[in-house]
Amino acid sequence: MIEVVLYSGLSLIVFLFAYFIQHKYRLAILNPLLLTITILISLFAVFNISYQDYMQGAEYLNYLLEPAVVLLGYPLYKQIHLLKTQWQKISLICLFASLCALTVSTILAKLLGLETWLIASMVSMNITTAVAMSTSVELGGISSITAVMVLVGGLSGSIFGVMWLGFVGLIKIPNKDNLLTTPDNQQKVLGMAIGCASHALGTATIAKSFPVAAAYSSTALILCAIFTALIAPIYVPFLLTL
Amino acid sequence: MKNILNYLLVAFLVTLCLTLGRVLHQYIPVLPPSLYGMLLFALLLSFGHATQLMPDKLFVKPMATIMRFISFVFVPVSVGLMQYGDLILESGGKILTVGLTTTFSVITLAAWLSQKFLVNVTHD
Repeated sequence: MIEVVLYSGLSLIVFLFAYFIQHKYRLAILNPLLLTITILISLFAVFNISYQDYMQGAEYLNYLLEPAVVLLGYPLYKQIHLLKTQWQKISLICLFASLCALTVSTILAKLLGLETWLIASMVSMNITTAVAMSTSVELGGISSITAVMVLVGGLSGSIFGVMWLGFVGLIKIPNKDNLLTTPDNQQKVLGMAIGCASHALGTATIAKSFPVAAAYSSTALILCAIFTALIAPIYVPFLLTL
Repeated sequence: MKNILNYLLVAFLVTLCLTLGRVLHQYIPVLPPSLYGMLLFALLLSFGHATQLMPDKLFVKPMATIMRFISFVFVPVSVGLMQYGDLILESGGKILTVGLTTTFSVITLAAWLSQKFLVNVTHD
């Protein structure tokens, strides 16, 4: 019982501290989950605490993983008007984006000589954490590696996504001092790109400056999660046999 | 008190949808139970809104708070990374290469397709 209070409480305190830091400095790199993992792992290394010791007290938090996925039905419900009017086009884009993520990650990881279980842990990195973890486990991967890969996908898109899209000429932001004036068409492109690649983390990052983009982004992240969960168990083993 | 009841309503609906999702998964094992639950939750909210049995205002505050802190539940499983220190030292560069290449490929493709299909189309 004391372990539950100690380790679950410690996790909560560190997370709230990380949230406060992110809220204060508003930098995508200061993602609360990333900061919490970094602080906790550093603390455990210093005090010589094993993961097994930690999980004796924190494993009960894992029971909340499945409800967390169910809760994503709320943003889906909020964006349902987008799906009603443009569902075919948005679905097609998300389907191709999911196929692209699975193909590029599997083939590249295979070419680099990474082991099958590691590839299985990585391929679902461009979708939201909860679904990525269950997809990874279904493929024979390890969920903690998946969680970190999801952060890599989320953070890289959050920090460099807008810059990259401007660099390759796919979006134009006319007034960089007032991002809210960015035309809706540009925001649609940005939102779909960030939602497909950088899930909730990317969506949260662009939401304040690009509200139209955020609506498209949250729709895309849900659809990509569904497509990846559906396709990956069949498509990834097929790619691995090539 | 009213706020607490709204949180309890969300907890009840999520549990209900997850349970139904588990039942659905037993008969149609295409999606994980939680994803069935997510779709059922969205449908239930739409139904509640259409019939005014569960108006939006009941969910605005609890959902805003929950969505803000939802990533907390991923902390224990993510800390599991500490078991793979050797792997990161050995293959960290390759793992990062795969991660960044995939992410920027998806960003580029999705943006290009959106420009082709969505630009100049209004949804009002």
